[in-house]
Amino acid sequence: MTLAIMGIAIVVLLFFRVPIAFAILGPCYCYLWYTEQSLGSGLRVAAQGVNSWPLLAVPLFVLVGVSATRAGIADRLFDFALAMVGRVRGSLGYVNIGVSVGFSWMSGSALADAAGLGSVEVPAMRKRGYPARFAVGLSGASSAIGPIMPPSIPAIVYAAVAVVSTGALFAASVVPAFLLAIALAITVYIWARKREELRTERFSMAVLGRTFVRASGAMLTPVIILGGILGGLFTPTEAAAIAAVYMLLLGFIYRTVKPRDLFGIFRDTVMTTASIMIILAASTLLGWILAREQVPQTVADAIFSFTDNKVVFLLLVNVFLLLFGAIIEPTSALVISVPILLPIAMEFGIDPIHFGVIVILNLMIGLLTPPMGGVVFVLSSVTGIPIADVFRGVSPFLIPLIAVLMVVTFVPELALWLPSLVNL
Amino acid sequence: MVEQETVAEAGTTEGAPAYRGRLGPVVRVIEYAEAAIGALLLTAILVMILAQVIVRVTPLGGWVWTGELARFSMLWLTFIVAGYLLGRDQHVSISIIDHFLSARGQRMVKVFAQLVVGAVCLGFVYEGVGLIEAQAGIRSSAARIPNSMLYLVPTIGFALTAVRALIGPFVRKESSR
Repeated sequence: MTLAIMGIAIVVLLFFRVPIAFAILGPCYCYLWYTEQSLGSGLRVAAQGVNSWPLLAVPLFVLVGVSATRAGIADRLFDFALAMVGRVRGSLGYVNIGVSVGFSWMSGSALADAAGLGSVEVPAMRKRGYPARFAVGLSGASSAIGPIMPPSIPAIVYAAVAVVSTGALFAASVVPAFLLAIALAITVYIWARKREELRTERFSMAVLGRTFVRASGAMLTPVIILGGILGGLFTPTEAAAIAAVYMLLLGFIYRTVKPRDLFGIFRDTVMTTASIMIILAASTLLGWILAREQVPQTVADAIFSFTDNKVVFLLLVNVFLLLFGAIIEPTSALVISVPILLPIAMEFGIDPIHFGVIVILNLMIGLLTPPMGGVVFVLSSVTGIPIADVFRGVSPFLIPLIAVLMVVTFVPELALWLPSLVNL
Repeated sequence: MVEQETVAEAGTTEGAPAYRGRLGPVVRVIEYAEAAIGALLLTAILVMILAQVIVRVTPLGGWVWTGELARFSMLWLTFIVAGYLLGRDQHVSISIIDHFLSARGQRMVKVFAQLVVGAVCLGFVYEGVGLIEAQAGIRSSAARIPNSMLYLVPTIGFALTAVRALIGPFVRKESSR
């Protein structure tokens, strides 16, 4: 009963615009007071949620993303991708996806990708005759690649919550991220095949060479991050620190970042990090209360009484997470749902790394769907395209995204092949 | 809908709230201090992690305290800028209700939300004080930092957020956002 009241209070506070972290912390505090927990236990548990070594990768990868944005990496990747496939019909659609894949190696947040890349890609596509809805829809869908391809902030959070290897989860996410890119490219191909007018740029080897040189520095980042982790040179947190320094150096070399910009870059990183981590702290306290009230066991009993079929369970998990991700912010959704669902998934024999990829894919698709759709609102804000049009633009791209989700869910080898190859 | 300023906008002077009377400059100084401390803590995290890599590949030996100090820095960073984020509406919140309300209704909801945040923060300040007293004399295992210090910074962060939340509705002018 107490738990039900707490849940209702959280929903009501969220609806009345109370910031997510405080909407969770408030009812949790009341629960602690009502159940006569020792003074300070709430703050101690919340603080433990962020006092974690694997989570140190979050601010550092955010720093990589902010530095890459300031260094103008998106423009360089865009020019290179355009020089490569500009002659192809619907080329800017492929460029959009290619730039998202390239930038995803430097950024692990869909909202940051949507903001940073959307402001470059959508105007460029509209200028060359692409419909606004298609441009913004594709930009939204391709931004989902960012938090799936390593470095991924949700992967770091999942690894911390599920106590699994961040490096293994990074490796497991590579193939699904490329599958997303391929599925989106197929969608672009189908859409563009009868649109001859969308064949814009002439191919030039000289331009390709020049833009490759301009983008080559940025393209080394995945070598540092994934190469360092998979090669056993660094932990993910250390790789994040080295990539952050490398990205700042690139900014200085490109003369797009000056020493006086450093304070702004660090401040922006701190604010983005803190807005994620305080939700994580609050969600940790909520997760602790749910565990104390034996909610995971109750949910497990309910599920096992309903089905003992792994396929049905995975379908149920997908439907639940898609709906949950559509109505709640991904970090909270992850921290609240994983401690409940993961033990059940493991009972069904599902690998926790594979389950992590499924959870992250679901929650990232949730960023594109109503009513919350964080990516949609960011894109509307940076492009000036009405929110309803962005939602309409994104909706056709949900089909390839959900198709990839289903393939990854039911073919675990796609996720587990690379980690097993490198013994993670 | 999830509302949060984009990375590019976060922390800039654009969209910064304006305050009535003499309070403006005071709040500005507090905001600058919060942002500066946050940036310093991030720098500390970066340096500690890099130091850890360096000592591993050199014969300098293990510096176990670097990892611990980096973790504490992130904990402090998270809470010390909570007030800054609140003052600039940069905490992640769900603003779907705005679509159903008039401008006056939206203002009332914002005031309600701020008062809730203030009350929650006061509760956690009380928690923090209790925890600091309870942890007095205990030190962290590697860096030997007093545990009371560990919880002091979040308590200060909650206190600064509470002040911002409780005075905001009365002294803050409508922001440019």
